[in-house]
Amino acid sequence: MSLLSINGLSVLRGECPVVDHVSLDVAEGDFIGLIGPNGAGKTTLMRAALGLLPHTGRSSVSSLAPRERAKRAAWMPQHREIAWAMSVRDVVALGRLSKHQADQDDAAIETALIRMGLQHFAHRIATQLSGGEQARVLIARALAQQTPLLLADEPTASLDPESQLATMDVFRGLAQEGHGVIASIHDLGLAARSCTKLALMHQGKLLAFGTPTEVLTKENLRNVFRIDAYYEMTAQGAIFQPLSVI
Amino acid sequence: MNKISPILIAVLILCFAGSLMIGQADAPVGQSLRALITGDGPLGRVMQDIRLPRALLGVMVGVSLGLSGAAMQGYLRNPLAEPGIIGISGAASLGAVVSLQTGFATLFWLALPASALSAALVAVLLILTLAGPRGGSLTLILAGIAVSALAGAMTSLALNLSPNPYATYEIVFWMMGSLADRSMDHVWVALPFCLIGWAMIASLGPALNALSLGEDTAASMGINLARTRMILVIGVAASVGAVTAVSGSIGFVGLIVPHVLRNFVRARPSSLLYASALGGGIMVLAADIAVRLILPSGDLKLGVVMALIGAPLFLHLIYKTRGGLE
Repeated sequence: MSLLSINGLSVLRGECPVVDHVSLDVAEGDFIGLIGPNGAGKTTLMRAALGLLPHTGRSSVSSLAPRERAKRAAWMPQHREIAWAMSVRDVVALGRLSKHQADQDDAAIETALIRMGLQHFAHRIATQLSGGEQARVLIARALAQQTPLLLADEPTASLDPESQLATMDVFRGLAQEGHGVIASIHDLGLAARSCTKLALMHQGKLLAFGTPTEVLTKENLRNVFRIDAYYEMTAQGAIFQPLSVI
Repeated sequence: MNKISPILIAVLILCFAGSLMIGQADAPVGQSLRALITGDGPLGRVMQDIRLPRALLGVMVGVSLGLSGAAMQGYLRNPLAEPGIIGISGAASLGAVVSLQTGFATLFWLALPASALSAALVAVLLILTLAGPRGGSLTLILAGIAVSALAGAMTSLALNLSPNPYATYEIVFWMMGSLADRSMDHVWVALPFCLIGWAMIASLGPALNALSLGEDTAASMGINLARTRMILVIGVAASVGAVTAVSGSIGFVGLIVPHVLRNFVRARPSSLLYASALGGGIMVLAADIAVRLILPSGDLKLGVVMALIGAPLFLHLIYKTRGGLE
């Protein structure tokens, strides 16, 4: 079943299209890695699809009322902000705002904390944690929202390797449970290892969409990222190593 | 309700009682209370016509400024924000100053507060127009600074063009802020606006909680940002505009009170609204009692005492914050 259907979505900044007629479907079980160089339109596409930016074209989520959107999709922006010295548990509890049900809130919060390995941090002050730990808190907040769809903008940025792999495993686990996940990722090796599909964006357009092996071709890497790289899918997962700049 | 609320309510009641009991007409508590209820004799007139409106206005001013300060800080995610940042109090002051300067204030008793409230209303419209329908918190701050600067300049012009020194004297003293010589009429003028403003701001708790994680995240959690901003601006304008209209400019309450109480409510913006409302009431009533105790026969202004209390407190907070950052 399609959780997000984007058809001909465009976003203009002045006269310039930063997202240009993109169509994409996210189904249950999909973990889509949104890849592309800086400025390719990844963040703009996700924000527009969520209804956070004015756009033309159609997104099945942005067309919903704000409250319904919040029940359909959770969003984790790139800019991580926790304004006040709130406890980790209180921050994660904010995820229940749109789905507040007294008898289910505690369980949802505990599950999110455990999933992100934060159960022992629950009463710590979130703003006093390291950047990586704060990122995990904000992912837990998005998980507590318990939506069928999760969109995350560079969720693994500033995380150490262990946390990067653990976060991607959480997202993959969510997809295996029937959720849909889209995450913009700059680490192509991590994206190839974890995602079921990759969507390659370049200059606002969706250039390629498919399995990591179908998308991370030599031509795409040269044309879009301007690099030569070694890529191989092994039994242990994908191995990706940038070799040189063209 | 959080753990600190019962304590704040108890202290507020004590301060309210203190505000009713303390004054030049020194009478035993029991006698004062009887006079307050019956209204008999000179003491009855003092209690019902002077001290009761003064105490009620103290609560209204404090609650309005404390609540608005907590809401502004929550919305802007900035502990230095206060109600004055969006220019409402400056505009209300301008309305009152023009009313005093032109002599309009002397035409009928409602003229001065009505002028201040009208100016606050114009400021709201200007801020909402300047900030635009989709603007974020930054555009609201910029619009507020512009309106505040304009109101300040116009106020200076009104003072500059003052017809005589007595008018200037009256304007300057009004601008210092005071609860003295107010009547129940002032309470009835401000109360409906305050109640509307308080109800609007109180409804913003969930939105302010969500905004703790930024505007994008809040919007994705179902918060209508444009609606939140409009409710905030109108709520702050109604309550702060109304109390500025009847009491003049009283600073620091909206800045200091949320700052002091934040840690007692686990920093949750929704809980801080109620705590700051109560804390604001306490601070203004306590300062107004201090005004009467420090200089019983003089005319010490509440706004001046508040600044004398607020500025050192603010310096202490800066020092503490700097210590935390280092």
